[in-house]
Amino acid sequence: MNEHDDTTLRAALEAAEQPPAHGAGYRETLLTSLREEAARLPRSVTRDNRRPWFLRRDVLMAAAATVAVAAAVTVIALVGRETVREAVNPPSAEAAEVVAKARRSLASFETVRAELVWGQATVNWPFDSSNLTGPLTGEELRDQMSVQGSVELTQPRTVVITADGRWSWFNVPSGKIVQYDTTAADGTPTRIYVKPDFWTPPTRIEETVDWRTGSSRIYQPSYHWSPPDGTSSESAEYTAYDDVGYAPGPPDTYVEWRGPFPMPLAAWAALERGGVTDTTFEGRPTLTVTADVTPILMPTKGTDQATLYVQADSVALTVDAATGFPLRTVLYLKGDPVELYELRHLKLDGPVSPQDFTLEFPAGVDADRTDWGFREVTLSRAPALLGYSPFKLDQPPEGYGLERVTVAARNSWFCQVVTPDGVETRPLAFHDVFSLGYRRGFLHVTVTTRPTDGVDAAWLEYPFSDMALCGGSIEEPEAVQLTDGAFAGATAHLVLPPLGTPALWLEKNGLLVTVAGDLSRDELVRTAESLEPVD
Amino acid sequence: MSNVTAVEIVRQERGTRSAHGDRDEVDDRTLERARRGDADAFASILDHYDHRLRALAFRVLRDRDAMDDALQEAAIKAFRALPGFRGDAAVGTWLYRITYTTCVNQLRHRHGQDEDARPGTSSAAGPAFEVDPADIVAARLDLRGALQRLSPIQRAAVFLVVQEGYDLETAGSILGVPTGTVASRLSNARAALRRVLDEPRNDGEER
Repeated sequence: MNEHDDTTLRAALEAAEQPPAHGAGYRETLLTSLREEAARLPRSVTRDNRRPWFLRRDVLMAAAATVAVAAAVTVIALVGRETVREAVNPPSAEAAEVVAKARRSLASFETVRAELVWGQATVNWPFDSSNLTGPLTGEELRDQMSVQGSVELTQPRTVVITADGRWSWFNVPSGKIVQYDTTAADGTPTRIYVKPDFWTPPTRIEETVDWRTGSSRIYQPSYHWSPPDGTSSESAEYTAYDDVGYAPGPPDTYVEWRGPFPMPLAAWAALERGGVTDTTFEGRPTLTVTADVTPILMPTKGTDQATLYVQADSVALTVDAATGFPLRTVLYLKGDPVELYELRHLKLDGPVSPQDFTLEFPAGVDADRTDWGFREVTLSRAPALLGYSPFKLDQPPEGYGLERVTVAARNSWFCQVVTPDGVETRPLAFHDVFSLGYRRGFLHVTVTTRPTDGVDAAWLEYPFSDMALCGGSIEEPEAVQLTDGAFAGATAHLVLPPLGTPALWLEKNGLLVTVAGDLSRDELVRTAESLEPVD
Repeated sequence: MSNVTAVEIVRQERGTRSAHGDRDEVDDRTLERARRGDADAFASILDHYDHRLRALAFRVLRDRDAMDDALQEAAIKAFRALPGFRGDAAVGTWLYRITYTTCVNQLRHRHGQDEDARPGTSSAAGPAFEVDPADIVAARLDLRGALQRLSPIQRAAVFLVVQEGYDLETAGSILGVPTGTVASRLSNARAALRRVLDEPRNDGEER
């Protein structure tokens, strides 16, 4: 093959193809349209609609309300109080060793019973976005934000989690006075109050999840929300969801299978580069690893409600020094805590009963039932059902076993897409999806195969995040050439998001194959090199 | 379209070369008039970039009517968005971004009716571009066929980087993908196109 530089290629392309001229009347039509547009849309009126969706006032208000509601179910304020006490000793272990110990712990225990505490700070977003033409990056957004007050915590709630994928929690929230100030996109100061006298929370919230069957149930009794100034009012008799057909894992998962674990699990790569401090938690010796992470602006998936997550710029993971089990994760933004997960009064490998995971709806409750489409099949039947040969792992990562084999004839969710003049909600549709769930204790790996036809092109560019569609800051994939297995010689794309799931994907012969889970970079590559077709 | 007389052109060196010469920018006064809602001023800006926007839209969509539809839609979107344009990017880059997004959206809407709208498919069942009788030279057909077989993002990346001279970062900002994605897409596309150029062929024989 002769070498052609870009000059040769450019010349050849320009000789081969010039764009056609416009059709007759194109410019007249364009000019008419522009003049009509100028007459119809006064510039001052249209400004707000041209903002990126996450900076529009209605979205900011919705997000602010979300934060306020989250705060409304909090009861314990730990203003300035740190439950992990730092010792003066020098670090006793390197970060990578602590992370490895935590992973071994998660791979070995079978049940967890604890009181789960979750906390979230209120965050101020003082945007003046009138001159913005595009979405902010996570760093830009972070620079404009400030954390108000302290992390507010939920009342401790009982959580039971099993390594085979069942978990449940029971929550009893109560109200607390919260004052939330923000600045709307047009500069208008906005204050939201959350007070017990107008916030009547549900008496309890229950949720059960069963990864083994791909099902979950959520029930919460009535609540009422009616601010005294009449700005908004909302109530519900009850909320009940009865969902089935969940996929074994990302990128098709809609629920968190592992309760409070995802956050520390997702932070492996970043934490391995962190620093270690000897600490104590509930009187037991602990190790705390702290690491910087790249902040990411993350819109939610699977909902038409625009909700903001501004993730942290640093993360701290505290593990039990004896067992290595993760006890506490705190996310920080510019030094202030913004989110926290804690497991208090932890009991490992204690007995659990089926009743721990049984949620019976009260009589008369008509639950919303959603079937996400995934069904268990045998490996041998899969190719005939799908109409193509999907991929499985010849050799799963050490200790992992194949526990779920599923197919979905149709599957879809919605994503919000930023366009130059606003936001659009678009469906992401898939067909004939094959999803395998591998598990080692609490650690999971998911392998999927799907035809690329009909799939949104932008999603295929970055299937593990909506960011490619929504225009935010995303982790740039690393191109990795596989050297073994069915895809030897193919280039895969690999991401290790600081607070997301490590993932790898590649496209070949009209199929998109993904591997994602609790693996290091090298483990992820080795796993992908073990892909082989299901006969 | 050749109506560029209404635009005062300010030539600016922007660091990267273009196959069409240095990046031309519209002057501030025209831009400000358009920003304030002057449709004629904005039309003149579009006139200035018309050839390049047509080239990008046609490269992605492979159909003249679709190209015109997309450019009309992109023009309205850009006009609406213009007051918020900060000028961090060149006007041309900004228009490229809007045009590309609009073209990709149009491809998505064609799903179901037009299998070739999706990226990476064969040209066999797709919308045939009109063959110019003057373009019967085998090499050209081969190259156009090779272009047709690329995905839309690959075609756009080739246009922006190889033909327009944008760097990978700017091309990534236009295409809305990371720099690494542009690089990988471009690498594959270059290889595919160069293979065509390197293939020996019999004179006068179409492939």
